[in-house]
Amino acid sequence: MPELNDHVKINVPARADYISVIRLAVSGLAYQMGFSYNDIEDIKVALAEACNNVVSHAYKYGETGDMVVDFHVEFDRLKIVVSDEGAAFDAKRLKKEATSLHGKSLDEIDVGGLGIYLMKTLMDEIKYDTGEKGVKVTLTKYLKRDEVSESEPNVHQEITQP
Amino acid sequence: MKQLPFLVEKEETDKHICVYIHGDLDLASAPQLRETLLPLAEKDKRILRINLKNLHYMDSTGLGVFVAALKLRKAIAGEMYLEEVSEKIQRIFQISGVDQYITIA
Repeated sequence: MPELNDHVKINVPARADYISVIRLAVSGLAYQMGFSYNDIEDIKVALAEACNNVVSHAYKYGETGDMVVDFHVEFDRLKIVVSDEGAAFDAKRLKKEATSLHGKSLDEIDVGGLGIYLMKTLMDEIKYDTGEKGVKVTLTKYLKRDEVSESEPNVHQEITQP
Repeated sequence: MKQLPFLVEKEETDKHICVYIHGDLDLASAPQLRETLLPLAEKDKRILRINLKNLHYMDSTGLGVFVAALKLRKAIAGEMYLEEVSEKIQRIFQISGVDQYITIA
């Protein structure tokens, strides 16, 4: 069973075929921490979206690199940090694009920002850090929280919840 | 916890084409679906049914394939709908807003 302050780290090549391995790992960990079935599904999708970004955007074509996922088991939450060492993408631009498709016509939609939107909606907190080398995305999900609402999520909110 | 392989199957009648998607639809498997679904969506005027009964996981990469298919269907005024969609998959369609463009039977 995971214990308080346990730290689990997965380091894999930044390739699409490793994302399912990361999903399986987080399912097991979140289940053992006592997250509900629905919360586990949310965490799986959000984490996979963060990994999709690493695989698709972190490294230039032909360049190889790693994707590192750090799981921090905390008293009331699971904190996941996804990092890479690629050419940092513009996190500000992605934040701006991260909208749902509600109210738009089929012709005008672009699914490009949906992954980031799902991450923000499905997790309780999400934070980007862009360093000199690479990007870090921190995803947090609290235990015993009601299902997330489908309204616009809070982004970069401070940790104020119980 | 053995992971089943991703599989796309096709069944055709005079009026329908049914595409069955099995497994996890993600960044690794989306190209496989794209390859089967998009040429059908672009050219075949029969009713396109997409059966998601055995789809166990989907994220934005899967949504991207369905939106691309919908745009192609619209261009040739072809029908397309999803059937046997589980609650968890339906939730991804709803949260993203893609459900407003697609019929879920």
